[in-house]
Amino acid sequence: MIPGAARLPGPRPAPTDGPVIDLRDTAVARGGARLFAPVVLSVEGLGKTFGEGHTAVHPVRHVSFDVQEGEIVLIMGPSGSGKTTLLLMLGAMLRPTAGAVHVGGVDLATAPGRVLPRLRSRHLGFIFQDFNLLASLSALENVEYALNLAGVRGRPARARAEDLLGRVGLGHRLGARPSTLSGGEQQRVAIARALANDPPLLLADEPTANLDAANGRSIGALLRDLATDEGRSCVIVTHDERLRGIADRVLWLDDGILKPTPDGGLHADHAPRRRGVRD
Amino acid sequence: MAAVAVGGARVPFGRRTLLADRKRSALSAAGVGLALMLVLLLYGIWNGIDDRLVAFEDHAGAALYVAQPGTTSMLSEVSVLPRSTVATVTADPGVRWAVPVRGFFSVTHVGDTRVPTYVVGTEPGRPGGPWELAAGRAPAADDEVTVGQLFARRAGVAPGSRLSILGAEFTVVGIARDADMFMASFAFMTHAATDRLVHSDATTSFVLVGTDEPAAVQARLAAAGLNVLTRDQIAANDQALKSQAYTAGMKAMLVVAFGIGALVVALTTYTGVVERRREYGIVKALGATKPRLLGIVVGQSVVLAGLGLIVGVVLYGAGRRALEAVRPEYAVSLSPGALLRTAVAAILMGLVASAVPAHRLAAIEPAVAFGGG
Ligand SMILES: Nc1ncnc2c1ncn2[C@@H]1O[C@H](COP(=O)(O)OP(=O)(O)O)[C@@H](O)[C@H]1O
Ligand SMILES: [Mg+2]
Repeated sequence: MIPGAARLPGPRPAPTDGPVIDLRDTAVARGGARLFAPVVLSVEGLGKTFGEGHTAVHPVRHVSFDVQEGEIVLIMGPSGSGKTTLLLMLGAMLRPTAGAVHVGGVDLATAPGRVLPRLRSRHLGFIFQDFNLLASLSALENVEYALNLAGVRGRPARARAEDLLGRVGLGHRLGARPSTLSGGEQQRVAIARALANDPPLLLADEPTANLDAANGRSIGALLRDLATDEGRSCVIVTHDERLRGIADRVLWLDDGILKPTPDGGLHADHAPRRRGVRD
Repeated sequence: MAAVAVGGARVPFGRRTLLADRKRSALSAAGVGLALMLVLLLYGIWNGIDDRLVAFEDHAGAALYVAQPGTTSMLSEVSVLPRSTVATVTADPGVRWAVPVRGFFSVTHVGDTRVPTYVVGTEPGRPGGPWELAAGRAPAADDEVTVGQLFARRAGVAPGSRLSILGAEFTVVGIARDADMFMASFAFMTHAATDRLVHSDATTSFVLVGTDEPAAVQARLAAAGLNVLTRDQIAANDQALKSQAYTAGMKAMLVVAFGIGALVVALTTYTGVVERRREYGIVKALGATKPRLLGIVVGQSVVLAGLGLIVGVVLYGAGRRALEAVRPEYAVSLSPGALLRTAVAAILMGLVASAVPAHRLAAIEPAVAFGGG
């Protein structure tokens, strides 16, 4: 994406305030100015309640935001503020109790359970804090297996897995077991796996938390390149201040509600000049 | 990426994950193997008993058996026929040959040793005598006897030995192969010798019939008032003898053995799923469908059952030799069909067993993959 060109409104006001700008109907803008880039993820009045009565907890309340093609959105906030809960709902792994999540043409709040696996394998790519590679499979097989789960098998799956690992700089470690890879290498395999089925949206939960500074930086740069060069959108839940440098926008979640960021704005001031300076 | 399914190999995640727990998989295969060995041995014993119960019918070459009215087997019922029945049967134009055979259970005394015996009296040189000899010859004179190999081993007799049946003295002239059943051994002698033993020279037990048109002959002889059974009817009824003694116990043991095998498989795969809950959560997060997840545990269970089958066949080979050494009256024999049935049963056992881990797997939330987040 063109740095600095995409500027979305921050979290939209509560639904009662009515729609602000409907950015979802942007097909006409495809190929045009990034201002009208297609919306890949649309979250409206999203809420989650665990339990009932006065023991009920509401880790996520009235959260609304959109994510455009090629955009990196950071979700930051204190521990226990509902970040993981929010991400699980975006990833079709937890049913919302209120609101809607539109991704891949379905509303995750109401879609029948049988469509979710397909959505996870083809529209979403997950990147986890603990990398979460499958220990009994090689790096190559980890990526290949994600392709298998989407119905791609045999040689085509193997070839694509090799290609993806080459792209994340691991073309020389295809046969390595996860336990023999460094943290940074494992996270690269995980990213290759997340990209396996060419999903428009990547969801990452603390992707750099278990990495040292140098590895964290290069993983961040890799995600930025994927967004910029391939138009992939990325929602990253993180505590890692360094990742602000790659974000187009930072959303601050506090007690389940999106709030202005503590440094005063709703937006990350992502610009190339800020990268490197912080690091 | 193309969303259509294309052919080609898949990464064998389930099998790899299962075999990554080497120790557990090996123990499990051993456990299943033991259970299947038991199944195979029971099958083998069962088969061996069956084979030997019908050894006479298998070798006598008769298509039909005429017996006393009401009698349907050789081994479990008494049959007494007038000797003149032989002539009646021979008169039928479809009959090629007809011979009298006397058969009854007795106990043979060799010194202080008593051997349960099924005495067979035949006309020398005619059908019904010993079918294969390990030593010596068939009896020709009325004080000669040929006994089964196991009989000979148990009683320590050889050609030339003396023994006593129903108070009469006999000389062993031959040792017959394949002539020992689980409950008794065959002792072959002349029909005339049996006439003396039972003090009746005007009777016999059965008339064995050789014919090329058994159905027609059977119908005609039956119309003449005789009780005629086919070789298969007699054999089936003789095999039923063991069911009185063995069927219930055997069946119970088979069920228990399969139950144990299924339980071992189920426990192994279940434990694997519980211990690797997070990995299965990741697989779910990556978009594994329900059929795929079911496929993983079914595959694992079948792999374990298959490994267990291999172990079981090897153990069976050893167990069979051990058993035959200790209890030679059990000739353990396994037909390819029985082996195939056991293999199929092992696979079924795996399928049944996979229901347990499948249930557990279905309950794993993909969100566990985010446990550290
Ligand atoms: N399954 C659940 N049942 C009950 N409470 C939960 C559950 N999952 C999360 N919570 C609660 O929701 C709040 C937000 O949790 P989480 O989304 O993990 O926050 P964060 O990722 O920002 O640290 C916490 O108070 C947590 O205890
Ligand atoms: Mg969290």
